[in-house]
Amino acid sequence: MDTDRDDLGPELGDAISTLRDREPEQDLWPTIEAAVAAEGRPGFIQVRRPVLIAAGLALIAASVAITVALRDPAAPAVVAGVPPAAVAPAAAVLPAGFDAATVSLERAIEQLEASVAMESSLIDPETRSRIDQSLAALNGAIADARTRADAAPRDVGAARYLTRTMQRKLNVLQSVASMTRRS
Amino acid sequence: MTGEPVKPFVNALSMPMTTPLGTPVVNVDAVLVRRASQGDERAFEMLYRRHVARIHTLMRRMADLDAADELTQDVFVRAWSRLGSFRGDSAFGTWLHRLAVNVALTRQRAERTERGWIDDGDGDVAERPVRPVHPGIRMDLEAAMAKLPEGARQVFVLHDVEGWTHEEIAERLGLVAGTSKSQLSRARAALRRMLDGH
Repeated sequence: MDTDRDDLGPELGDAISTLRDREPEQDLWPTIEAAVAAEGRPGFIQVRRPVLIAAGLALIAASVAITVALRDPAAPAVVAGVPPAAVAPAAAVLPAGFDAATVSLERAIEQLEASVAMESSLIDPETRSRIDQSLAALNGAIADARTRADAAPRDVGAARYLTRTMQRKLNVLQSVASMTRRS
Repeated sequence: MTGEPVKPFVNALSMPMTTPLGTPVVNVDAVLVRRASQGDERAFEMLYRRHVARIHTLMRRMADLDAADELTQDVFVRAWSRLGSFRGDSAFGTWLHRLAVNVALTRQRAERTERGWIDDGDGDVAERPVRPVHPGIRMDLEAAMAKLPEGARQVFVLHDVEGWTHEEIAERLGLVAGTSKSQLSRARAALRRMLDGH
């Protein structure tokens, strides 16, 4: 006998029994497909090394900048006279330097994209076509994330979603770059 | 979870899923997992279609609506890369569910550290305002759960919605079982107040 269940009470128990699973509002598969295509066959761990030193350094710089920006305790994230714990996330202000950090991330993506484009002839046409489709899906996801972030410029969650989506594209590009090195 | 996306796969295999009496004759997930682990992305997409509602709902409850899409994507990408480690000792759905909880908790731990200057953390439920959106109107349970502090919400979701034991929750969340029990008690009290419209 689960006494915890007995303590649930009829009203809460009834409410739980009405809960239903819901599909996401948008199809998440294209982004997953992009990552899966870049990942290759499951269960085969690929050794991923930074392919291009310049792009790798740009990536590191962008990651550090974003981390620092999001952690910056001096950022104007609090309302005057109100302790941080009382400030709802929606009222937060993005830290200074966050825009610069996303620019660094964009630069890292551009460098890796350029490098991958130069070496794409090493990949067979069919795979290349699938990678192009995957990257197009990720570009769409980034555009959506950017729209969300632009619509809510004070929303740290939206900003974080944008940077994570960009990071996902970087990861895919790194995988593709690794692929060209192995070819 | 919806049954709809399974049909193309069943048609493709030209085999029935059930006997005329409704007895399952094939474990669709097991077949899809085997094919996906050999690199068949279409099979993996079918697994995604079969399980996405369940995983997305779990992510929405464990985290929030904004993060649910991204977390769900993470879960399936990780599932793909770890398919080789799935031994079939449990159902694929159970394995995926555990993976999803891990992804949500790992992300939240990282975010808690990252945004310590913004987040209100695991505040005491009793100290938080628990008014309904519109006073006098009963709030639905999904909306009420979303207003719980993170720790209490996770314990409530895992225990009362997903059926985990306090021991399992304590192990996964890095708590002692007593803390899980007290969080659950607070969460239920807060939810009752919200559902009653007080």
